[in-house]
Amino acid sequence: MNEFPLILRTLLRNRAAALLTIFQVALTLAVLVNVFASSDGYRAAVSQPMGIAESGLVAVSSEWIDVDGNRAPEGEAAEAFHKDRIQRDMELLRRIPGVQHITATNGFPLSDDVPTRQLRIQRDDETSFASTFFIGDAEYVRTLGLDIVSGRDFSAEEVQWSSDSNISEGAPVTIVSQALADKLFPKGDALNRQVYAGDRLLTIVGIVKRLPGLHPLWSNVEMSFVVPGVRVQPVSRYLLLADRASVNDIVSAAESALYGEHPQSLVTVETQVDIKTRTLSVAMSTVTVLGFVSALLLIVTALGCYGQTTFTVTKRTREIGIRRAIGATKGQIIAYFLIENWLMTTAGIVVGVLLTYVLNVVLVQGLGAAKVTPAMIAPGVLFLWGVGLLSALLPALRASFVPPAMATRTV
Amino acid sequence: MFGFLLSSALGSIRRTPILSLLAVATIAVGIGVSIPMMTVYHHMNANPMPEKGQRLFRVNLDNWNAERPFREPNDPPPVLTLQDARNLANATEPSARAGMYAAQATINPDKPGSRPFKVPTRVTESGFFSMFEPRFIAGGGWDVRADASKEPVTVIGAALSQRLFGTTESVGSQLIVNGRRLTVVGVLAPWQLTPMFYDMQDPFAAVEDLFVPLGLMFELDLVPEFWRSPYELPAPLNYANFESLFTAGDIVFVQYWVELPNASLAASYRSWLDRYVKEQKALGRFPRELNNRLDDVGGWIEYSMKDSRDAGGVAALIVVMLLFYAVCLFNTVNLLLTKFLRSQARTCVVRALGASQGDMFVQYLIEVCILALLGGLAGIGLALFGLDAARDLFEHGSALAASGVATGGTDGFWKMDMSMAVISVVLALIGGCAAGIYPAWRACRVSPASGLKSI
Repeated sequence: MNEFPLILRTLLRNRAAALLTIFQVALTLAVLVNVFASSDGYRAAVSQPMGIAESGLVAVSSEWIDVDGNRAPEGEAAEAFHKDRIQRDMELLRRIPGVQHITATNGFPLSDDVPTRQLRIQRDDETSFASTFFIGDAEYVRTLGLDIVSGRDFSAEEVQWSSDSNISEGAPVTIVSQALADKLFPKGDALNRQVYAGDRLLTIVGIVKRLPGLHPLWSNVEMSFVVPGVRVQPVSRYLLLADRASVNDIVSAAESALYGEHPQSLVTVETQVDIKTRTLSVAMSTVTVLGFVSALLLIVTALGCYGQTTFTVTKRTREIGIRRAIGATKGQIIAYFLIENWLMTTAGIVVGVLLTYVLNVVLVQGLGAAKVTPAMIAPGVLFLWGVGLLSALLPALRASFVPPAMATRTV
Repeated sequence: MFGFLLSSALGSIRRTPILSLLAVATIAVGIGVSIPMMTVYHHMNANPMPEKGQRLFRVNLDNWNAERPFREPNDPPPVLTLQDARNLANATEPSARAGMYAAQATINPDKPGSRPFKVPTRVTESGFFSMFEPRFIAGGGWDVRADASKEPVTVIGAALSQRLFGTTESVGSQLIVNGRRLTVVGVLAPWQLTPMFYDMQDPFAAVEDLFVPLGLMFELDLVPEFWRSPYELPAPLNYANFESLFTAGDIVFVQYWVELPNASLAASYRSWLDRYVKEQKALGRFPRELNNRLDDVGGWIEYSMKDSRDAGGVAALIVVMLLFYAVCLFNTVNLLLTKFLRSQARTCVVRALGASQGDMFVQYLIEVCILALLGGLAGIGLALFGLDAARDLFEHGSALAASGVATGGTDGFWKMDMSMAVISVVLALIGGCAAGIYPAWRACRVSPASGLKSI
C-alpha cells in the first residue's frame, strides 16, 4: 500500500487516459442505475403475488349478439332474458369437472377493462379516492381466494340482480381492500363506517387483505371495493376457481360449453395469468430492451477497462522491467495495476453518482421513472468495482510476466 | 500526397486487424442501439400527408364547463358533440368534410361453424375517403347521398375481406355488423399510417378494418371508444339511453376534419367558426372563452404529440441510448490509443523520412474516418436487426397479431428510411472523428529520434 502516492502521481501525469476511464465508468453507472430505477416498478408488478388465487383463476366473458331470427327481446323482457341466460351459463360452467367455485362479476382484476369510481367520505368532499369498482355475488370472496381480515362476507340475500351498471337498488354494503380502508379511514376504524360512491352511501361490512383492481401499473391498483350483485346485461363475466393443474383444460372446456349453448355469442376465456401478462406486455418488453442494453453497456465498459489497462501496460513495459530488476515481486506489479484501475473506477463512481441524479431528473419527467435512492446506487457501485477489477486482472497478470531483463534492452 | 496517406491509413488498419475490428464494432454497437429508438421517434412525429395535409384541417371547439379546461393549460377537447358536428355541415367553405370516431364492432360471419369476432371500426362519412385518399383494391367509398339516406353500406380492409369471403373482390357481398346486414361497396388496400394522424388518440394504433357510415351509429349501437362529458351524466350510459345521451347533450366524441382548398377559404372558415360559437353562446352553450382550433395535418400531429407520454418516454430513452453511444466512444478512444501506440515505430520511420506532423495527423484521421464509416454501416445492420427484434418483442401477443385481421398494422414504426440511414452514418462519422482527434494528435507528436532508438 506504500505505492499509493506513487500510483496517484503517475495517474495525475497521465490525466487524459485516466479521464477517459473515469467518464466511461461515470456514464455507465448513471445509465445502469437509472435503467434499474425505470424498470423497478414494472418488475415488481410482474413478479409480485397480488393477493388473489391468481394461478387457479379462469376469466370467462360472454357477449350476447343479436342475429336475424335470434334476437334478445327489447325493453322489460330483456332483463328476464339475460338473467335466465346468465343462470344457465353459470350452471354449465359449474358442471365442468375441476371447477371449485364460480362467481358472476363485472370485470377482472389487473385487466385494463374494469370500471373505477371516485369514493368520498362526505358527499361533496373535495378529496376523493379513485378506486376500482367490482360487482360480485355471494361466492365472490371464496372464488378469488380473498382473505377477510375483519367484518364479513356478503350474504345471499344481499345479492341483487340488476341491469343497472351500478346496482343502484341493491343492498348498500361493500367489501373494501385493506389499502382502500387505510386511505379512507387512516385511524384504522373503517369497518361499519360509511362512504359515498357517487350518490350512493355504502356501509363497509368487510375488509379483505388485498384485492388488485385496474391495471397492475396504476398507482391505485390496490384500492378496490366490491358491491353485492349480478349485472344483467348483454355482456356477462364470470370467474372460475380450479386446481392449478387443470386450468388449461378448463379454458377450452368453458369455451366449448358456452359456444354449444349459444353459438352466436362472443365468448372469451383466458386464465387470470394471461390477463396480467397481456396488460403488462409493453412494460415487460421495455424491461427486456433496457436489460439487454444494460448488459451490452457492461460488456462495452469491461472491454474499455481491459483496453485501458492493456494500453498502460504496453506503454510501460520498460518501466515494469526496471521495477522487476530492482526487486519488485510479481504480486507487487499486479497490485500496482489493480490499484491504479481501482482508483480510476472509484473516481468514475464518484462522478457517476452525481450524473445518476442528473439523468434521473430527465427520466422522471420523460418515462415517469422512479426516483433514484441510495439503495439503488449501492449495488451498481459494488458491481462496477467488480467489473473494473476483473477486466484489469488479465493485463495486470500479463504485466507481471514482463522479464526483469527488459530493463536492460533499451537504455 | 493524399493517395499516399490513404494507402498508409489502409495499411495501418490491416496491420492491427483486431484492434481495428474492435473499434468498428464499438461504434457499430453504439449506433445500432441508438438508431432504433430514434427511428421510432422519427416515425411518431412524421407527417404522412406532407402536401395535401396542408389543406386538411382538424376542427376543435371548446364546449367544456366553466370551472376548468378540458386539459391544462387551456386546451379544448379534441372532439366535438354530435350536434355541433351536424351544424358545422352548414358552412360552405370546406370542399369536403367528415365527422368520425373509433369503435369496436362485432362481425358475425354468415357461415355455419364460424364464430363472431370483434374488429376495430371507423364510423365516418363519405368525406373521409375523398380527403385522406386511401387506395382501393375494388370499388370505392360511399357517396354523400349514402350519408344522407343512411344506406347500409360499408368499406372493408383487404385482410378482413379475405377472412370473410376468401377474396378481395367482395364488392356487393353482405356482412353482418352488430346484427345488421351491410353491403360492401369498397375494399381497401393494406394501409399503413404512422402516426395514425386522423385519430391520434393512440398514435401507434393501426388503420381500422371496417368503415361504417356515421348515420348508422345508433342503429348499430356503435358506442365510441373515447367520449367525455363536461358535466356529470344524468344516468350511467347503457344501450337504452345511448341515443338520447349522445344526440342532444354535451358529450364530445366526434373527430371532425374539413378540406379547405386555399388560404382565403381557411381564413373565412375560421371566422365562420367564431360566429357559430358566438351564436351558440347566445343560446346558453359554450360557457368558456372563444377557444377554437383549426390545425392542418402537420400542426395537428405536433399539437397532439406535445403532451404525449409515449413521445416523452421515447425521448427519454433516446437520451439513455445516446449516453450509451458516448460510453462506446470513450471506449473507442481507448482502443485507438492502443492501436496508434502499436504503430508508433512506423510513424517514427515515416517522420524521419520527411513526413510532417500534420501529414501524420491527417493520415490518422483518415484511418479513423474509414473505421467510423465502417462502424456506421455495420451499425445500420445492427439497427435493422434491433428494429426487427423490437417489433417482435412489442407486438407479440398484441390484439392485432392475435386477431390476424389488420388493414394497417404498425410495421411502419419499425422500418428505417433513407433519412435515418444517413443520420446513422453522420452520427458515426462525427462520433468517430471526435473520438479519434486526441489519439491522432498524441500519436503524431512522437519525436522521430527517440522513437527510432527504441526499435
